[in-house]
Amino acid sequence: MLGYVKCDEGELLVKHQRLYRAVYCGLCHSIRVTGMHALLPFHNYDFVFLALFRMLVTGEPLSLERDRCFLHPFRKGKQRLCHNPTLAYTAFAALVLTVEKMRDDLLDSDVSFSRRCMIRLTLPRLIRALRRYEKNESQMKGLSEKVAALLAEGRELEKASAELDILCENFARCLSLLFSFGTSGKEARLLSGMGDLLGRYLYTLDALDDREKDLKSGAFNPVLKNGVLPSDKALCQMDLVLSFMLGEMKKILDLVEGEPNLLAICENIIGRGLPATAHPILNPERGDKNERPV
Amino acid sequence: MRDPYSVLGVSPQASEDEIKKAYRTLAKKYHPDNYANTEFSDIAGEKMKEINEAYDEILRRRAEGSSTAQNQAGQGTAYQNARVRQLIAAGRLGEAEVILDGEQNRDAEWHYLKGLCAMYRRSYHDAAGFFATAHQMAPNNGEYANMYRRFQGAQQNYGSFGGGTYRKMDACDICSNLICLDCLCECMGGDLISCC
Repeated sequence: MLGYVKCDEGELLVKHQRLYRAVYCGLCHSIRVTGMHALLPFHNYDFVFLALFRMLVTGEPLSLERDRCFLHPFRKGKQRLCHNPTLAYTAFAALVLTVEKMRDDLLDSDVSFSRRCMIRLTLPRLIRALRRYEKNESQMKGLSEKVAALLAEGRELEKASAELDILCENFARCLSLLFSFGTSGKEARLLSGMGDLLGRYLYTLDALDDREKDLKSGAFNPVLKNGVLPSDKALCQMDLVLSFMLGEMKKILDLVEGEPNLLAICENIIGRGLPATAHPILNPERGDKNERPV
Repeated sequence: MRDPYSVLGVSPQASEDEIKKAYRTLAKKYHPDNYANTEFSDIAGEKMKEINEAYDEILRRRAEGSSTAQNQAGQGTAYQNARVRQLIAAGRLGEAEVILDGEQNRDAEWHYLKGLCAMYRRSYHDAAGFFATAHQMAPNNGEYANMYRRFQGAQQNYGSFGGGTYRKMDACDICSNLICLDCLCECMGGDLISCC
């Protein structure tokens, strides 16, 4: 999810930090268990939020075990979440979005030669893993096609230089689908609502983050009006809109009754992590862009 | 209905001010105006209803509790529930226990209060026993059930963590260990088990 969804670890309790890392390690383990090894180089903390929020809403029981890291076999074993249906689904959702992002990059003229080569080498393996998983898990069928259709629609809208809100809507529908796929009733509504808001938030943030790069390259960016960077007033307005979205996400989180530790981490991501990521993007001269919360 | 104290996120020993504060905070958070014109207004409405019911239930229980205590005090036969609760809340466990020990009528409330004293003294085994008895005598009381479940839950949680870590040794393990030790001794020129 574009590398913006992280927690502010400095504000987490130690037990929550451990759980957060345990979910990350659990997701890595689930990627291997489900035969998606090709996805491992692209595994990051972004999808941990999807796993955490889905577990929180669906009430998936947490079960931890101690295990050595696959990539660091000589280090002391750490706690990780045991493989469960939510982690398996999250791994699959990450695979779907990674495949579609790579396909999107191949169509993008700005992508460097080295990245293009890397994608050409990796994409076939990822697609094979995707097809294999879909074949084994019939209930997952249809998700990748729907996501691909939505992202293709987004590309068409970008070509037609659509407004920011319309483009946000498209990505919001995509994340809403990824968050709520396979659920129903109240759970689906909460998951879908969170995915929708997060999609809008991330698309806006990504457009803002790329504004200078796109201005130089001449690529389309919805925040550039007539080839000019947004003014300070426009940036303040966007800051307000982003804060409003965070407030709405917090309201959805308030409606969820679940495991308190998971809730605390999700609150940290929404209340601290996302604003910490947005701050240097909105205030480039005041914040270090390379500063990362995790 | 869920335990009203857990709905408001306060302990059963909380003062009226604490309960009122918790209720106001939650009511502000889930107020229908906050979720007006959103697709989650019905879920927020349900939550608000639950909070209102919990608050009313706590007020009702407390009013009942104090009137019962007053009636009992008037009759001169019952122990001072409210007084003991106040003493426990103030940390004056010794005085609370003196009153409880002098009581002849040992009902569910008595066991619950004894359990609280034991818990604050960290005599957790005694506390668990008192809470279990209180819950057994009045299974419909949410306060007793909540405390009983707290002990049950803790037992289950820690049980599951400890259960998978250690494995009991069986006869096969002992035999294989002895054979290994014998081999090692023979390598060093000795013999642990002469028959093999």
